[in-house]
Amino acid sequence: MPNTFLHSLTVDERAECLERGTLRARAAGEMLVRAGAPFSSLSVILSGSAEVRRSDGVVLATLGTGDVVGEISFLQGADGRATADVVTTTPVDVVDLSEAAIDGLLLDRPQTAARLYKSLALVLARRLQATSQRVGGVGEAGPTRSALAPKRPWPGAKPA
Amino acid sequence: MTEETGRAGNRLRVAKATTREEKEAVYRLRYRVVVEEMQKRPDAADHANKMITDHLDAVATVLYLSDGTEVVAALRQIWAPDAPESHQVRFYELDKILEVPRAAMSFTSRLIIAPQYRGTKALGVLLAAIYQEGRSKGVWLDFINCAPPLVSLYEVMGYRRFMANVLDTDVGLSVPMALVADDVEYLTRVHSPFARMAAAFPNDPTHGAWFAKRFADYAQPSCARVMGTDEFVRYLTERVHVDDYPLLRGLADAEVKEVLHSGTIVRAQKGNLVVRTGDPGHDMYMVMSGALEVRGRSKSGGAHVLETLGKGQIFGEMSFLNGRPRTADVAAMTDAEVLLITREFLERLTRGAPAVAARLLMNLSMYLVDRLQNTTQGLVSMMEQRATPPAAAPN
Repeated sequence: MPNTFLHSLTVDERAECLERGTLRARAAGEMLVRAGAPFSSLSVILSGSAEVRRSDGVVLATLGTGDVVGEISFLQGADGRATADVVTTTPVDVVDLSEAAIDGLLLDRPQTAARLYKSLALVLARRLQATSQRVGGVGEAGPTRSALAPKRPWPGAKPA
Repeated sequence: MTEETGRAGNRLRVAKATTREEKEAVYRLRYRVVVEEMQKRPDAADHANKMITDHLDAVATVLYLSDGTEVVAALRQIWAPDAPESHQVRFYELDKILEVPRAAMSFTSRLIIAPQYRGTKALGVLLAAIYQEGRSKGVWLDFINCAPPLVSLYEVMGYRRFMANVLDTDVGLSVPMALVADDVEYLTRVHSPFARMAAAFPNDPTHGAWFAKRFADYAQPSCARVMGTDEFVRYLTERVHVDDYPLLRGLADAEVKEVLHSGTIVRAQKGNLVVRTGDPGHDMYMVMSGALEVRGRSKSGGAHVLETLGKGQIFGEMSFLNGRPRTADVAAMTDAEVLLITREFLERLTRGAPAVAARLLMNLSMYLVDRLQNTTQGLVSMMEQRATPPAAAPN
């Protein structure tokens, strides 16, 4: 799971974050997040895999162990709405970190909170880079577009 | 010449490279750091022998620092009368500085420090030795050319900017700086370690006065350590209104000051490449004034504009976060001031004031979400215009 959200944290930091969360076990085919619904926690996939799907069913990305779900709506706070559906494709264990849990982490373990946000920033920076390159790829006519397509595409379709 | 205790308790010794063995040991250290560690491909690299050397080494004084078993740091100084005219003009516009005799000038370059000796006394020891080397020849004006993250370090030694930045094909954006080695008043004011050494040589106060007047356009220092904390923070806070800077939102005044205080102002001229694809770099930049363009390079070698950045916006965050080489070019479209924030500062802040570091990184994340949404919108509308289905097959 290199390049995932959890990967950038040490084993101790992972434990300090995850122990504050709520564990959810989901069967295959369940909806983890529904596009347009309020969603204000940060969810981390511990095992299994899931797909990010647009309303018309197009798969935008696949997620697995160590990946984070809901980070955009989490950072948007009260106005946060999920931007796409996330559906499990295998049984999945996921830990939900509520805003209150992360506020608690900031108070008790600020250094770990800093690392968590750094990890989050890195996930977003990578996605921004991939998206910008796609914009560049579209701008350039011809076959370069597929060559520039990111490993984890996330064109972030508008909610239905 | 000088002895200091090194990291592992070894004696560090400065010496002049005179034999072929000594010189080649220095050239190999350059190769290890520049090519193998920093992944650069300079023209002067000799890959077969794993050395970096050029024609100027033949006329330079090469000083190195040894820990008893190997060369751990080195630099060279070229006395102006020995330097080819083209070198002087290309890097330092010396055709415009006619009032100083060539024999009073030197160029210091190719400073290399092995990783385990960075942040130690090694740099100071080597610079002290080269200072004395120059002064003993009658030099009072020394020039260097450095990468933006090192500007504050040289300012603390007493170097000052005196001309526009240049784009060096080997190292990217580079800032020429000069040291008036006998300007004791200035060296004392910035707490340069050279101030004390100057006492051993004849000093002419008119040199400092000449420099200050001649290069007044570039007089503004770039970092708090030289400008003085209060003055530097005042300079920045007059320009920085927290509301314009997403990175600083929600921070207390004292925290904003701490962040600003750690930074170095990079003054870029229109056309300068501030960040270049493939270059190593661990720093993030916050735009204070002017406009810059982020350009991606395609595999075919073409460049396309990805974004235009203005006041308050951030670039270089990817390498700042993951320590990998730059993935895009950033060029100044107008003259611009950008504040350079180092990865070391973030690490220090995370240890010393972790809640502030967390806020800063949360702000950075929120800023990235905004940009991500804008970019995504842009992508969606471009794709709609082209009426092509979004290529989004999962891997």
